[in-house]
Amino acid sequence: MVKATEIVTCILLVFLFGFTAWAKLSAPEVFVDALKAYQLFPDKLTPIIVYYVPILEIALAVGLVLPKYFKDALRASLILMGIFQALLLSFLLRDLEGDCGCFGKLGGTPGWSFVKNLFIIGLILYTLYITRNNPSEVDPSSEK
Amino acid sequence: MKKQSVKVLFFFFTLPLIPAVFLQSHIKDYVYKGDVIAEQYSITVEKSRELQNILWLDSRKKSKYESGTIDGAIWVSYKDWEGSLMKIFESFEPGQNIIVYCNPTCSTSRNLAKQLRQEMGQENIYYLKGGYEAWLKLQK
Repeated sequence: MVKATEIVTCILLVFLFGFTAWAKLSAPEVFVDALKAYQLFPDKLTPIIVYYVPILEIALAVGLVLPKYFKDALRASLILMGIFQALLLSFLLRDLEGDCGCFGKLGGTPGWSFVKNLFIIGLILYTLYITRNNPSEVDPSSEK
Repeated sequence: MKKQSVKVLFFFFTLPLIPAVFLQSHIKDYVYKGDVIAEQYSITVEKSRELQNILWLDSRKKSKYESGTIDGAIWVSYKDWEGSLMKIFESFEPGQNIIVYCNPTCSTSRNLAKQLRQEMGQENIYYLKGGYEAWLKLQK
């Protein structure tokens, strides 16, 4: 059950991060427009964020596939999803208009993305919970 | 959390910065100048007053359209593109200028204007710089 959950979570997140990274990198102008709609980021930072986010998503996808870094990649994914949720909530509360920036040219409404991310965060938390007693691959001293 | 895990997390979040800093030059022009081609089809509120016979298209949220819009403006949306096109064709008169607007920071009006130029095959379709807020300001 634990292993099955790990595999399902891994496949889902790798697919999600891989797809969203590709969507952003294939249409960076669309991502720029989405970032501008948030009205949070100065123009000086926007060009870096445009590439930082999809590259981070790729790094997490790779980390999730490597057993040694799976749990740390999961924790990093949780942090990233938390940041996304905070930004989406800010967008929704200020009643702004525009794309969430999640899926490049394919679009994505902030409201739907917020709900979808809640499920993903729930899955990550559940996976971290049920694997909490598994020894960490990175820290040998935690092995029994 | 174990020290090693903290280190790994640190690397996850900092290493992507390196390629991002190197790649940013590819998109800087767009960030600062925007879509240069689309800019040719932007129009200010002042300039719009010089045009005759305008069909206004409101691409903001429906709730915002319903709470106040330019007189005679039609609400259009990507979500209901077929329906929006039908409304436009019903109201459009040959030779009419079309101006699409949303709010100051959204790119919907610019993209919608571009799509309409492709669908209708005409050049006199613009997006309003500064959006509805700019139009409101000039009314005061």
